[in-house]
Amino acid sequence: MNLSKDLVAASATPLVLSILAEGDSYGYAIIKRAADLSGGVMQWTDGMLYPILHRLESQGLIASEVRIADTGRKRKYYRLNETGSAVIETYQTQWRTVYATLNKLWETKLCLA
Amino acid sequence: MFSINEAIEGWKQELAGRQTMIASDIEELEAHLQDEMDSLSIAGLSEEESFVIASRRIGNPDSICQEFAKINATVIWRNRFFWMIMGIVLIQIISKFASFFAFIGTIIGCQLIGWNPLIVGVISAGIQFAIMLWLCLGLYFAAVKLSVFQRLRQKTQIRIIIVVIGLNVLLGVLLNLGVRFWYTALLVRLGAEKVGQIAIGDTYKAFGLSILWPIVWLTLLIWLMPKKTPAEQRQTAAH
Repeated sequence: MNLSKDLVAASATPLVLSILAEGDSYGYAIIKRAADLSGGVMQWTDGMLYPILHRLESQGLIASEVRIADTGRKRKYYRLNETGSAVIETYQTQWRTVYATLNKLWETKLCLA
Repeated sequence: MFSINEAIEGWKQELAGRQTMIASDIEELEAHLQDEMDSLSIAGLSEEESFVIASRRIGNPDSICQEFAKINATVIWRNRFFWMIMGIVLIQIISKFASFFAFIGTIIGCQLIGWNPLIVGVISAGIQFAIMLWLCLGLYFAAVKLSVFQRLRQKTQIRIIIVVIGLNVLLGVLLNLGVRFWYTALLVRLGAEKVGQIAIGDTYKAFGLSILWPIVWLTLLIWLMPKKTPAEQRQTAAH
């Protein structure tokens, strides 16, 4: 199954924020986590994640810091802050509303059939 | 022979070439590329294979750079503004330099060919134009084709900026003081008539160059007109 481009784009922000709610992380690991959780369905072109992360950072939802990884390479870690956590709640309400609305329709249809 | 370091360097150059990503953006993507390559080589792929796959997964440089362009708009315009200012200062230096040599060249030329305001005008306009054109072309080649400036370390960049500004001030002061001194010296050596011819010739030169330069700028501006990226073209079409 392939998700439509629009849906992937719309869900990227809540997905990234929610993954960061599990703990600080960096780009590569965020992509792996999203792929694992969705069984490989939620996949961006890898490079596209970084502009999203930078936008969230400039919006003040996440903060970044450079740490040195075990491999000795520099790695930019992102951390969710309080504003970001609050935004996740807004997203939850929105996505649950969409899901519930569609579900009501689909369940009724099933009953009628 | 495939060299992994060269491949990564080339890939970074390609991203940097679009001028929409800053150094830390590229560093971050490189770390991602390395992580992906590590996991692919654990899976048994060769260095070359893992590079090809990892860079393809990161995505097409054009579309990545376009996304970064949206995020880095301020930085991009700051950089452009830097080059505009740098351009103005360099043009000032070049034109001061060129007018100095045009002046010397004219006097030598007229001594050889003969004194006439028209000759003065043609020789000095010719020399000034030729020097400026060659220096500008040289700068264009160094800045655009070789991107010399970006390759330098920040410390060296600051030194160059200071040297350029210093040169601008120095040439300005020297030429302003020099002109008074030269004219006096010329009056004594060549006599009032020839100095008068230089003055009339200068008017011819100024007239000629005031037509020549706009033609050059027009050609340059049309030639360098910013190319639109595919995304921008679509946007314009949509409006």
